[in-house]
Amino acid sequence: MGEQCEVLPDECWELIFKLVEHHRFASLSLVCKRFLSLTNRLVVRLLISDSTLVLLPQLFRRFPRLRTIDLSEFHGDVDALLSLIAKSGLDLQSLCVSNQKSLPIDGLRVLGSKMKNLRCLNCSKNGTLQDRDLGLIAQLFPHLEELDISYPEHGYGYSSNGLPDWSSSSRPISDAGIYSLSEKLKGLRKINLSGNYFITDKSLDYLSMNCVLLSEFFIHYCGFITQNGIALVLRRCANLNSLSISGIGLPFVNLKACLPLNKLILAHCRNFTFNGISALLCKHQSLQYLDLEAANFLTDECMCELSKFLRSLTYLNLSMCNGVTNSSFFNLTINCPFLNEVKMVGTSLGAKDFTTGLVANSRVKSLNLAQNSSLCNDTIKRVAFICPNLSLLDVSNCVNITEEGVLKVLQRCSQIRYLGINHCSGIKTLSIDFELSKLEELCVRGLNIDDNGLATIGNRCQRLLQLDLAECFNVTAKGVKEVVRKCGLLREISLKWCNNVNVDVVAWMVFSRPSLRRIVPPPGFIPTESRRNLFLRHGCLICEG
Amino acid sequence: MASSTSGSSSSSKVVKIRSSDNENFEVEEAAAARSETIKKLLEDVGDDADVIPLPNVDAKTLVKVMEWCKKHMDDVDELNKEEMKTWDAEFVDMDQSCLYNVLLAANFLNIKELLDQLTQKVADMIKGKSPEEIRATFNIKNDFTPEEEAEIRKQNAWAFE
Repeated sequence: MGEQCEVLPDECWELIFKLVEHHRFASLSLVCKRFLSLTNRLVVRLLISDSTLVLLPQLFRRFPRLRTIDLSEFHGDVDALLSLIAKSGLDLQSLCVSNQKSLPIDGLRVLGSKMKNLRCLNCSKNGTLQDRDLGLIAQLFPHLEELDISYPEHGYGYSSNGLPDWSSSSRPISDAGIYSLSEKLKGLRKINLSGNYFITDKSLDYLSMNCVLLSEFFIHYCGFITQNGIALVLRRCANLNSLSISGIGLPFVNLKACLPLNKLILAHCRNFTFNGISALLCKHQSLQYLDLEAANFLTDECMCELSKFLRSLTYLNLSMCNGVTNSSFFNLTINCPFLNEVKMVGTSLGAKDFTTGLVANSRVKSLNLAQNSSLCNDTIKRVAFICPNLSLLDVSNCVNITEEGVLKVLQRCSQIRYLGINHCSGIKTLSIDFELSKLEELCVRGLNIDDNGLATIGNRCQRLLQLDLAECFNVTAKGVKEVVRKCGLLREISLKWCNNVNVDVVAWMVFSRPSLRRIVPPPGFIPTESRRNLFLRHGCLICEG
Repeated sequence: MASSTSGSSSSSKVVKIRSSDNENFEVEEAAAARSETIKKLLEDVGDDADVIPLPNVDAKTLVKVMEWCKKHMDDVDELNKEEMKTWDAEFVDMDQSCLYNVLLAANFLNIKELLDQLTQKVADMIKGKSPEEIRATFNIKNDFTPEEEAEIRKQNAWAFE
């Protein structure tokens, strides 16, 4: 047999590899030199964690087309790392320095002098982020198009009168900081202001006035921003295609022209009504992404009306809307032909009977139906009938579902890749008697399963990548070994709070299953530093979980 | 000399195409025009077209590709979508050398939808497999030294999070 794959040119293999998920490049790159060089050219994003550091700067040379670097899981010297990145010669477009104690100003200065093309910067969850940092960011990266300054983590001290004591800590971001930002970053298209508690409608006034290209706003947990500010954004930002707000409320704005809106998030918003949302949706029927979490006024009748305007929708979140039941779900699967992902956590799904006939919808791939206490086997079986191509299903905390319902779903939906059945107390065992060759992630937290159940999982789900067994008190090391032995691709396993699992199983897993990358050990496992490092050299990280 | 029979629906226009091994085919224009490459050539030569030569595609492969084009000639209504999906799934279920040839042809002839179906088919053959299994599936020789392989394995542990 000749080397048949050589007849295909690189461009064809590239098309194929682009359809393969990023994490599978680990396997692909080890096939042969050609696949190694092809996959290396396709890697555009790198997450640098503490474990990655020893592989730098080799990885920068290996992946010459890196465009995005994410340091949100890095806990070492960020300034030094940024200097190293600045020297790499990469043409970076996007950088994430989220989750740091303070903004790495020195490192950003070095980086800014080398990488003028940076378009996207994420400084969310930074301690001590303040107005003068915003000025510096705007000066260093004048071409920024996307900026995330959400959820700064100021450690406020409080003085004796109960007010924040500004002298003991940095001052939080104010309207003045946003003003100088809006003056300098004229090319801004996307901004995340969430969690900046002290900015007001003035900030939205400056941004909507000065940054005419702004098309995406995220404004969650900004207590001083009101409907008036949101109204300014709706009126002035002609390019607005994504608006994400929470806890504010939708103003009724009589828009002259239609906005290019395709994403709308109104989570936990009060002060808006069915008429208001209906008028907005009627005018923007090209909307693809809609989140109405905790819109308590919604009923099945409302959703029936609204679904007529949602023909382009691909994502819908109706979580915590306790007025919606089965008929909303079934109507949506009929009326929204492009619907791909539905989140209905904590609704009244299952509470009422069916009013419509069942029509299969081959588009729906992802369903998060967790915490629906009325959801029973009957309803979940019908859901599975309607959505045969499901790839993700989460029915965690649905206590009325039993093993029978889950098995019927798995039989009908053979493409399921992720199954979440955490804390489904109605499920006593899992006696699966057919192959689940597509299942990659299984979360069975707090389930009653024992070693026999684990053996079944090992036998039937041999392609598993992730297994979450936290709080499974009936499993022992015997069952864990059985499932790890059978699942040759397993990358992550959690044994958190598994009291009956002997801690020796951790070392056994690290040495007998080289594919494992993360282990959350059972209680009582206290690794020494040298042990932890030994495991890390075998490619496996021990985490808290 | 092979020639395709015209569809039952109409007396639509027929174009002639020639494979790399010099076989001529007569195909309905609407089917042939699923290929952007052929469509462009037809526009360029207008009605003077005699035979369009396709020097990169052999007759066996061209028969396969035109079978797909004929099936996908008309817009599909909602009712027939499921039936079409089944047909497509059966169509891409072919032996590997044939799959490569049709994929190459779809790439050259610029038939996006067919190319998508074929690349997806190959991608599905990769998913969930170890390097050894991928080598076996595609008959690929491991050309790494053990040292090179160990070094890449080490890097891979944290490179694709």
